[in-house]
Amino acid sequence: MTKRAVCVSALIGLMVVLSGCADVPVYKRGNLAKPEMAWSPDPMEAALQKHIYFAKEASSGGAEAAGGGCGCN
Amino acid sequence: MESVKPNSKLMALSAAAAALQGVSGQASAAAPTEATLSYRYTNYSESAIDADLVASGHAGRYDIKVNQFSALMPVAGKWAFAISLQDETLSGASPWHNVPAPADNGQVDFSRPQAVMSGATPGYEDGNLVGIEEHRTDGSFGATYYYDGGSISSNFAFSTEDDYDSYSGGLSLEKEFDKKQTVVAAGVSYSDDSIFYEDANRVIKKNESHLLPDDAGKTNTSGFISISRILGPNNIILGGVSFSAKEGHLSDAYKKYDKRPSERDAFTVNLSYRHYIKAMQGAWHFDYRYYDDNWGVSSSTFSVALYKNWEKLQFVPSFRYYGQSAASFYDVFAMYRKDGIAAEQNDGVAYAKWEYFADDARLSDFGAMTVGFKVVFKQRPVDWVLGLEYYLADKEFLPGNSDQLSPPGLIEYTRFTFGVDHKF
Repeated sequence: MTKRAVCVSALIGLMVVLSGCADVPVYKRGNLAKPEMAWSPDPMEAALQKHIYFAKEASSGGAEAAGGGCGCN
Repeated sequence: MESVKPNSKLMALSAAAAALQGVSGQASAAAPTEATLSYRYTNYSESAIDADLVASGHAGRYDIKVNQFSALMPVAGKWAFAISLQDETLSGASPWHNVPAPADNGQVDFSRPQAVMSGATPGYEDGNLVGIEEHRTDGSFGATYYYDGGSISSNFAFSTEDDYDSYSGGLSLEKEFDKKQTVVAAGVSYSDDSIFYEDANRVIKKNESHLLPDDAGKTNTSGFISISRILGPNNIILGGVSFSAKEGHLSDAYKKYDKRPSERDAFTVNLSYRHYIKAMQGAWHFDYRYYDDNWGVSSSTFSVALYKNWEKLQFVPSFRYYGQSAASFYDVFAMYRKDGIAAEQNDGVAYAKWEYFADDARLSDFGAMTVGFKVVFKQRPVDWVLGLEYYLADKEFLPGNSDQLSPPGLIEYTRFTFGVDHKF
């Protein structure tokens, strides 16, 4: 639980720090909206990679939904 | 299906993750404006194990073919529905357990681990089916409702194999703050899996140390929270944490000596950064994830990719580094004592080193590198995708020293992907 508390505290700290960032007007956000700036520009490939890594490595997960499965291969 | 595969399998994680990908995948909680139909064909082949690392069985490993279909449909500017289907076939062999190599003096050499493989595909040994010939189908359905300043999503996913079924569901929320410059996302999900042998009497290369009960299954409960923030006109950052709790039969049903704890709690911390460079007409992607669980496994994953546009082409070179520590109950010889007595000459379980044990290479300490290159041909409204990826896991990729010997089962594979996206 200590590690989890550290993680949550770090996230809250990140929120506080980021809240101090300068404003970016909407009309200057054009580049941010480009497809290549998405967190995951190719969701199908990302899903497949997660599937493969889940089956080959001992770690899985992240800031997203979890699922079930064997991953034995 | 005409064969029994002594190694499971494939899973539903990808389906669940794909369905919720959009939840934390955008810089804002805006509804999509285009419908998209997508298809991907992927083939990846694992390299054979070196002959001197194989004690018996076939050195050839998995060859996997995957067909993916997905549809994203925005409705009335307030809703988006996503459907995905995946069909996967797998054939080949995998390590069943490790043994020390024979020594010249008639004893065994504990400094040279060798793998006993599961067999070829599909094959017979003494009238029993061995080898792996697997087929998995999974699907997911997700719905997202967008309101002013946020969204709410839900999804359901299933995955079915000859010896494995999984059902999962999830719920997540996004909320915009600070003039839509900050997005906070949170979600929970749950999965319920069933594990069984298709024909237990005919599977000879299965787990002999932690027998699969008739009602074997496991659950996974997880949650995450993330926050993204626009830092400037060309850059944005995201940080998140996630937790998961698995419970049930977590031992591998197709590893001979494999007994794992029935609970596994894990958490991750991840950080992502995107930077657009106008002069280059492209964007840098940087991602990091730290993982830690109560099995003693911790890992770090670094990824970097460049999305470079050039007229109607997009080039995406990428690199990923992964390094993990070993599970506390892992040993390259799970069932051998250092005095050289083989488990087969005794009662097996009695000679386990610890209460829990495994010689699965995936639980060892190792590093892995992935190099990828993808080209997207943008011929509006259709995009064509070609991708190539090479993955190599090696104990030497992990900084620092370890007492553990390098296991014979670490993976090397090459992946090829072809795909098409149609937006309208």
